Amino acid sequence: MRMLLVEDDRMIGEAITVALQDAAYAVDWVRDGETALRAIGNQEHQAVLLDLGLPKLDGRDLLRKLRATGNTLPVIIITARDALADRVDGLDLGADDYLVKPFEMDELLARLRAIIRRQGGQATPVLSNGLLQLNLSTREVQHGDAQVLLTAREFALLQALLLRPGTILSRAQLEERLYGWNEAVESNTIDFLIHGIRKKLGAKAIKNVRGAGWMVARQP
Amino acid sequence: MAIVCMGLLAGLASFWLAFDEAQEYQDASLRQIAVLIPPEHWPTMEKPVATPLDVDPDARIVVQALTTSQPLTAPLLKLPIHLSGGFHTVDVAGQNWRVFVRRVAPGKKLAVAQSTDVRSDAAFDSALRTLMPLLLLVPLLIVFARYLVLRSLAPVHALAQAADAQNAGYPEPLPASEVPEEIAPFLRAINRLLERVKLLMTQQRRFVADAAHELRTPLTALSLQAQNLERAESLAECKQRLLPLKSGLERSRHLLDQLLSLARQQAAEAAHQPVDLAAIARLVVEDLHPLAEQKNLDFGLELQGALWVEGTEAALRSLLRNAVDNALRYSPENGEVTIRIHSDGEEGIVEVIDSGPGIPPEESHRVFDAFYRLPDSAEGGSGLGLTIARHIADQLGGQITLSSRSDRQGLVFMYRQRLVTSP
Repeated sequence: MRMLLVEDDRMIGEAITVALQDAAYAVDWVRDGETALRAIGNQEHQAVLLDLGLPKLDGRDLLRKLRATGNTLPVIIITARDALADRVDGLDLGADDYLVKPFEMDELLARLRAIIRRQGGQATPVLSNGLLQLNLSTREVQHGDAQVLLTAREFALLQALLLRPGTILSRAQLEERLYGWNEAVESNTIDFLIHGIRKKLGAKAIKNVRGAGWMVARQP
Repeated sequence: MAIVCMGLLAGLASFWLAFDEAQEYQDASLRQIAVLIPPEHWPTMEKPVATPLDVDPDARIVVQALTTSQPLTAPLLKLPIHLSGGFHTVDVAGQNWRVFVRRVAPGKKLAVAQSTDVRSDAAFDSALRTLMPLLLLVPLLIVFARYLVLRSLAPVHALAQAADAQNAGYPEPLPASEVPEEIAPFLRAINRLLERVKLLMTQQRRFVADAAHELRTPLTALSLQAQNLERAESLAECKQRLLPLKSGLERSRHLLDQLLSLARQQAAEAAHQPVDLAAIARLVVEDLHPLAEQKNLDFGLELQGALWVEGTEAALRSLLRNAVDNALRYSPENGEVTIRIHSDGEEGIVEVIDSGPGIPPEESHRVFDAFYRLPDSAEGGSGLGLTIARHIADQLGGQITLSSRSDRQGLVFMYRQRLVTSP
């Protein structure tokens, strides 16, 4: 999953980036509203973490503009403004959630998962296509009787595939979901990850379509 | 009290005036009688004339001759013979007599005399009659005056109660209706003072709220950094994640220092004395040299000898330090920062010149606000530096101006304060 982090404070931005990467998210970090708007336009991200007090374009204005164009990209507001009026205003402007600083990273991650679940039309924190059950909180996969733990990147890749069972994702599409702008991607990393997953779950877990990409089977 | 004194004075005055009047009246009467009797009908020495004793004995008038040649054998009044013409007051056998002597020829004098008692009585009566209404009125006046004063002061009393009843944290102007005219200017002045106090308290509350809000950012960073540290999976990663945490702690410490500094400035009532600006500058350069080195800045001092101004070392050091700190933070690497201290004869002038981005004109009036940082600002600032400097300048009677450099991009921070003679 690839996140856009919009935060102007350097230390907070760095810390959240590290924390999200620990949780297997790819993160792109921008520090003002205008740059954020342009980044969202590239449609590379699955969700946005939005600070409100931004230079150039204020967070609230950014959100307003975003929703005005009909963009339903999930947005979580993170801000120090804790007054009831601010919270209500933020949610009414179109935010999917509102977190007050300082916050626990665990809570942010759980809320993020909830939002992504909703986007995928899911109710539970488990992604499944009938054959594989991926627990989004614990990064464990249930495959038949076996319960297997995935690494962060493996998890991210399998999640990307399980979100769209039956849909082929190309190498480029997978790379886009797994890596931020500042991360160097080695050319065979995706192959390496797929190999790793297949070793743990069996070759049939992920199907390769030569020349096109990879997918997981649709729910039978 | 004043009324009683006035009453007494009035009484004394009227008594004295009445007395004087009575005396004149008596004197006039005696003279009239003396002139009325022609000399050929003057009573002889042997037969002085006096009003009969059964007619108002106190007011008895005695008319008798006063001759120097023949002493009286049986005069009614033993008057001294040598009395000259005119009025006299004589004591005869323990009683005071007023005597008018008319002299028609040497050795031929006529004396008309009356006891002063009658005069005194008359005077007393007259005075009393004048005094009586006064005596009656004075207590009434006192009562009435008291009532009027109390009534006039009642609104003032009510104002005092209203003032006492107010919540000290939220002062409101006192109602200005129904106050005596004399008090009105005073009440207006008090209300203006209350408005100023109210403004100060509002500003104070807002500052506290802003400070609390501002503290959240460094705290959030620290919280996240600590959580990241917790998740580290190797010693190397631990050490790596410890670095931003230490940096975050440093930032928090700086912010707290600035807040404390500002609070101290606001509370400060230290005694002022002559302080040398050049010495302060040297201290500040020492303090901040490491920061300049880190960014490889050309950090220099241009002095012209000692310049003395009135203040405290701590305050001036804080002011200059904040200005220089800003200059160092905003200047890019390999830039330059210069502190120049000189005078124009009357004022000491401190200039801090940097090679940073300067301040855009539309922000220039906001930069002194608490917690305000420029939109594209560098790291680590608390937003309080100029606020503190402005506070100090106001306290010491100095002036801060910010302007752009004319030779290249950069800011000139100028502080001016009146010079004093060196101690």
